[in-house]
Amino acid sequence: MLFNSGQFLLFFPAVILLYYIIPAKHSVARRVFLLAASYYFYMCWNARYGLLILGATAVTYAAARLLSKTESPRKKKHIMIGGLCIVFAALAYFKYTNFLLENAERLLQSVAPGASVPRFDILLPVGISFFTFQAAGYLIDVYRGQTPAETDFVRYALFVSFFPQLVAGPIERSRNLLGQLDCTNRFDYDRLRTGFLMMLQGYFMKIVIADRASVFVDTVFGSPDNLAGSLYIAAVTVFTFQIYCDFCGYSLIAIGAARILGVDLMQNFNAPYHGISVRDYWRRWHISLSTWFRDYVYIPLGGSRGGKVKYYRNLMITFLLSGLWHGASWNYVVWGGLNGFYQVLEGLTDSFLHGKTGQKPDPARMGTGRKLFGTVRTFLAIDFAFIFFRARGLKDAMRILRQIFRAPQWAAVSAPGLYEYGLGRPDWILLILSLVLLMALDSVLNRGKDPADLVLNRPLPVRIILYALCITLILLFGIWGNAYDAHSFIYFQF
Amino acid sequence: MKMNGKLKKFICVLAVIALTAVNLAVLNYALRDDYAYSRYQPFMDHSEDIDVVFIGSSRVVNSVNPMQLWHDYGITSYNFGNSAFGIENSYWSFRLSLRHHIPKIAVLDVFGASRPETDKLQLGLAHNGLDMYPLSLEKVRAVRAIYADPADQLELLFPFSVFHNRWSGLTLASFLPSGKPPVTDTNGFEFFYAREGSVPQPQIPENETLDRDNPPLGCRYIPEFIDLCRENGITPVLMFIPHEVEPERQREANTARLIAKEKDVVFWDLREDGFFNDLTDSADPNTHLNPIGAAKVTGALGERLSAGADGISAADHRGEAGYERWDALYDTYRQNLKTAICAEDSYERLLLRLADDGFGAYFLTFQGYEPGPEEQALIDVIPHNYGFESGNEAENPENCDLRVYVYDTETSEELKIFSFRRMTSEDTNLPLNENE
Repeated sequence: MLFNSGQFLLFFPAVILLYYIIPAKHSVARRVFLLAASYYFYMCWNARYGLLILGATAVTYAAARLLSKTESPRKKKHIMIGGLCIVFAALAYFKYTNFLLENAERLLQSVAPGASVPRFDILLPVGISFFTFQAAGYLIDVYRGQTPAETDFVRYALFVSFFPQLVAGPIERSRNLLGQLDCTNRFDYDRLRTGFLMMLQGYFMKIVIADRASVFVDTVFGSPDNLAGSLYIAAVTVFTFQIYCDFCGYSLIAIGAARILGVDLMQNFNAPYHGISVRDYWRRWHISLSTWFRDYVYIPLGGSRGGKVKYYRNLMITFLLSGLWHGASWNYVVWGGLNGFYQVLEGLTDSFLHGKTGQKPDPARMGTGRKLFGTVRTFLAIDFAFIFFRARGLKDAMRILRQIFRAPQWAAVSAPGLYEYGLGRPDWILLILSLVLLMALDSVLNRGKDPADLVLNRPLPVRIILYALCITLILLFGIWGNAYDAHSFIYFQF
Repeated sequence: MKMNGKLKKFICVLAVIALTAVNLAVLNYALRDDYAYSRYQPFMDHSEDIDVVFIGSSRVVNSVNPMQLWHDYGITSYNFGNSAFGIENSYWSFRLSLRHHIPKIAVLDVFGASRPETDKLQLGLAHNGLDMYPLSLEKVRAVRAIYADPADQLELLFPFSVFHNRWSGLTLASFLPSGKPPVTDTNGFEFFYAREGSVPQPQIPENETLDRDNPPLGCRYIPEFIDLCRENGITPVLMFIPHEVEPERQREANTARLIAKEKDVVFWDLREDGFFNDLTDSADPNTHLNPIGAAKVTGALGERLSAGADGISAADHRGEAGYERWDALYDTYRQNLKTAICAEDSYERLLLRLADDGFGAYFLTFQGYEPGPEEQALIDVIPHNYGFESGNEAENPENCDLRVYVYDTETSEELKIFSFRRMTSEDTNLPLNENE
């Protein structure tokens, strides 16, 4: 079930209504209801994959319970590794089997030309990377003693499958989410309005900006011809905003929906394109995944301890793995590698410019010009890396790069030629205006303020008008309904 | 105090919902597909005195002219046909219309009875027959009965869900009644000004029918239509509009004949009247009729209805008190026809327009011009042809090949003189150049 489907617009109000109709004192009934709703939400895609979540839930629940009853550190380690192996094996099977077979075939062909390795017909379950990482994170937390093993299976199953964040995050930590799943909360009007506002912003980002941008991006990247390099530059720039609006939009809808149900999910994006360095960008982009990799990969590898070389090595390993998490294809690995490399480069530059410590000056004390320079430089670097992310493979990315450098043909990105790639003039104007509005909201967020206050601090009649106007404009300008193809969220595939 | 706070919040939520609904209603009005409203507004506004409705596909739209029925027979009628409508679409659109008005007689063209299912093309055109009806449980039933896909159902129940993609075309005029196209002056009838002969079709015997054991979707709705009419005290009639149609269409007619016999209703197979001339009456191959064909079909229906053929009779309301609006409607219709004929720039379309009893024409030819056989056939059916003569070359300063003088037969007023020139001097059969 997509957040931007009519089905969800019926499902979600029904869930809110029924959830709050069940008295708060019957918290078990509420949990069972939310669990059933979450499984229904997920099984709308493919009922059989409900078993997959159930399996991951059962394995990590049992492993954590075993951990809590085991004293021996060695045994504990074995239990944790065993549990992780099982859940990651499922992820590996569904996501990486054909990638491995494809690479094995290439290797084989270098020795025996014409050799082939058969592939499996595997359909990647929606959101498998997200719930697997969430369950794995819980098991590691229990192993580390950072969180107690959950005894209530229903509560734990709800933690793994809580529908707002089930298929594309935020990847929650047990420390934050499990405790909130008591389901004893009463209906809170303030939560309703703030959650609703977040959902509205999410829908605006998704169906007004991201889905509109995708029309142009898909047309350019999907073209079988070699188009002008400047068109690819324009398309990847638009894609940079598309993926942000798509994923951040999803996260906002998820966080807003959870908030209405009385659950506070972690922030997943914090004005990422205001980042003044790639490192800063990664503190703002897909925060739940970045911190997951930080806590469960980067720090266990040694983090920044043990000297610069080890630090850079750990950084590169973390980002290469992050690339691989996004997709079983070398272009994602290159994308991850590039993002790691940028940070290595920044580290080296900082060391050169700021002495042994390599510490940059406090951003709060940096001048506007320097900040702007950093922001633009970071955006360009991220934008360039996204060529590898959006291309249909490594070869395709290289073809696009060749076009960009060999045949930019700048005239191709001027009107009216630009209007031949799916978006007419009115759509371009709307897209640009929407992006300006979004960047303005992000700059409010960047200053540490909540953009929702722009609405919430107004007098009641103005607020009512603003709510109604926002809904109306999103419905008017959004890409939805039979006239358009409903677009899935990009991150569902990961 | 606590209750007041809750009540206030509840009212706030309701206010947001209400304001959003108002906004969407306004936008829905501005973005709606005006065609449906333009065609059906007269019915929605003044349906109380309509005795006969004609239901079916675009074949009905282009074949039955309620204005001619009024003028020639005093019959009050409405053309409820719709492009690409299967019988299932026609049935539900008609059923919804009964909430506004129950006519005395409903005539269903059975063309489309062989259609196995409702397709996507019809989805787009289904708006024409459904959008003007307000949202109701009956409309929900109609949409659910015709379309299985929830996305399609959503589109038809809330047209804004699809028409919001027209936002870039919004202007201030879109929100104002004056910015909307004028409503039809023909009670649903549309002229199809074209002429193209049909591909000859093999004729099948009358006993060849559609599969009765497992009838196609369209066929299943014919008995439903008959039952619906009877439940509402309406006299149902089945008909088949003449044309050179494919064997499958002939099976539709044969099946309708059987159903009519089984259900004891009248079936008017207008092919039996023998008036159809493919050379002059067909707008496109094997399907639609042009104004010449339409005038013949309407005349045949008018004769039957006024004579009480097969016990089906519609009253002549001409001159009756309370029917003055029909005269006014007809006057508007005639005035619009005059305006349209004066603006005509195609010779062939002009000939088709001249098939109307209200116009007459006199032809003067120059430079040895002689009409080709198809053109001659069209000239031959002009009811008021005042002559076709060679003109004096000295009186041809514009160097044309043909001059047509068009008159209003009721007032004898000369409406316009048209001059045409051959596209090539060698071939008189080629269409002539546009009026200069």
